Amino acid sequence: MVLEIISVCLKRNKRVIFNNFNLKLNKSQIMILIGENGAGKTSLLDLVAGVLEPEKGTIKINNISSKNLNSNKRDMYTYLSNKDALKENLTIEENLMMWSKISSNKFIETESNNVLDYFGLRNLRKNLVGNLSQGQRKKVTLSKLLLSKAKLWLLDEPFNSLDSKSVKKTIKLIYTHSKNGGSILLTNHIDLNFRNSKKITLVNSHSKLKKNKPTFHKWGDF
Amino acid sequence: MSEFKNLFQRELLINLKNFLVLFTFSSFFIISIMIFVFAFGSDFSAIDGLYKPIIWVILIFSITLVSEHFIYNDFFDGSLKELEFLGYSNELIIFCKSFVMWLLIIFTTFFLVPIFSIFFNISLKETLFLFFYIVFATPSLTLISVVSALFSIQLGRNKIIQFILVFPFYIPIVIFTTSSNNIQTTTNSHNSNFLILIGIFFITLPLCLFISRLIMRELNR
Amino acid sequence: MIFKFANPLKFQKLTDSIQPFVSYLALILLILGLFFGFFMSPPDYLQGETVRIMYVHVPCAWFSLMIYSVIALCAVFAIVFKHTLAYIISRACAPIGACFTIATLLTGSIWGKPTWGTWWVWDARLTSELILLFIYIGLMIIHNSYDDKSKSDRYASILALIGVVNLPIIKWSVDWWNTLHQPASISKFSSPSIDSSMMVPLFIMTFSIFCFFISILLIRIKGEIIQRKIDVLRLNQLK
Repeated sequence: MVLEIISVCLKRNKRVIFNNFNLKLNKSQIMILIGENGAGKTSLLDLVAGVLEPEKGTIKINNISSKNLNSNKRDMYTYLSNKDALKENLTIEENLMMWSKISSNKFIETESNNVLDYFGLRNLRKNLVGNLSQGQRKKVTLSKLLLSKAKLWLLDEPFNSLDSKSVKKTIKLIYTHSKNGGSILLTNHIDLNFRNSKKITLVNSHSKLKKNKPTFHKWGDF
Repeated sequence: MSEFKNLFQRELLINLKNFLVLFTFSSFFIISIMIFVFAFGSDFSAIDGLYKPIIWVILIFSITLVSEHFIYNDFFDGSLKELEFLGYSNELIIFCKSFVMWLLIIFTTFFLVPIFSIFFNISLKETLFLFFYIVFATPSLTLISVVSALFSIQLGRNKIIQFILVFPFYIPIVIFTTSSNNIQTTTNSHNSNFLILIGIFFITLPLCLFISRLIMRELNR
Repeated sequence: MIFKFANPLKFQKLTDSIQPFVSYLALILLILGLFFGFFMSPPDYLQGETVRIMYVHVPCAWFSLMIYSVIALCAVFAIVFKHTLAYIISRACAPIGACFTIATLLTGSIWGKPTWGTWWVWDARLTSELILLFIYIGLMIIHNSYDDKSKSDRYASILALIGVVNLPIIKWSVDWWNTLHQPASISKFSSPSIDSSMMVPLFIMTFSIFCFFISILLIRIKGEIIQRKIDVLRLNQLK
């Protein structure tokens, strides 16, 4: 089992987002999280990446509890969050180089051409990220996937602001990764048709909450 | 150790490439010196005894101003979160940030203090002492300002509130630096008064790292 | 102890029953203490009649420190256990503590004018007390600067934790530095350097101010609980 989420509960801003949530992700499996805004797609990825801590329940990556993962965390997964974390005053090349340094991947000059070629960024490599368009920035972020050696990919809305050609390229990238034994957990608000993938729909928790009104018999109600 | 090296290189690369960091600091410094000089007018005899408080006021304000470049940018483009989920501990992130910030501040003040001493007619020996005290006092100031910047991320960038919150904690450092600097220059004895600054630094270091860890946990919630 | 009052309704009932009792006690003790202080205690042989301001100044100063330590304890409790009552208490305490600090500074400067000759000196004790006031003000600002109450509570508890550094500085500032402010007259380990005729009114005043603090605190906690109830109900209405 690559990723296992066992009966996780999470509360954010007094709103219950997950109540006994379970999820299992196998080797070379693609899983898509669908749901409205505020249903907790990003929160789930944050939970897996250890940015948020669950109130109850455990999260296991490669059968190791995520609490016991420290610096070896970065070898196990690559997480592309909703903010691209690119530095505007550095060039594309420098950004990728810096990222591979802090995520303990290797950025080799000779291979870098292939990486940059995939999304057609080779001619832009010396450009500052601040001068790029939104779609080009997204491509730079996605190029991090080509550099990473991790088996588990966590992608938060990878198709945002991409043109249809690049969307196809990204999907191809995801398929080849799953063929090579990697597993992918991705969120998307548009229903894209993926072959061989499993879909999970997250429900907005507002509807759940309406039933149990606070009685103010517990301090937690306040 | 390799973690520290990676983070250190990252911070150094980002902030050296960002022209604004050094520019803000030095321009604020020079402009405030100018304002003080003009405000004193032609009566230069009054300035002589006052240069120490003036330089500390300028330093505190400019350090608070610079600290936002180190924290805000990283928070708003998501790289603070990225560093966290890559498995770097919060303390190490903050420590590297303040260390690089301190280095840049020392680097700039090395060029700015001579300008300051020309404007205020300070002798070479006193200038050296001044620089010496800046080197030993700025680590604590930097750490406190980083914590204050972390606090103010969610306060809607309100500078005044940020300053009200942390300024009580600047006071002891300012008191001890100016007093020991005064003792050093007036009595002319080479006593080790600056040791108290190092002592304060070793109190503020664990405290600030612990507090910033607490705040960074809050930021993600 | 906390878990006994785990039910907020029971807690509210308890505060309702205690509060009037405590406030009447505070009033009676205040009258008694002032009577003793003004008519039954002798004037100081050095400071004369001005020493009587001590009966207000000293208890206020003690409570300005004590309330901060209550807030700090609540902050630790809140960070570790995330209990709502700790947040409520620390939110209720901050303005009271600020008022006691202001009272200390005001009475201190009124006392300082005849004895030291100035209203204010930048002395270690006075400065650190002023810093305490600023920390209280900072806490109150944080309490009111977020829309989300739970967020402001968490940030305020972090700030309260930093401010603890100031407490020992205030307490021992008169021993560590040569200050104009006189050192503590009453301490646990040695016999007090104050006569019993002065000690009695001082202690009566201290207990009176303690009761006053408790009664105000209970009123504020009650108000805070009601406010939170309204907030939760409003939030649920929106959904």
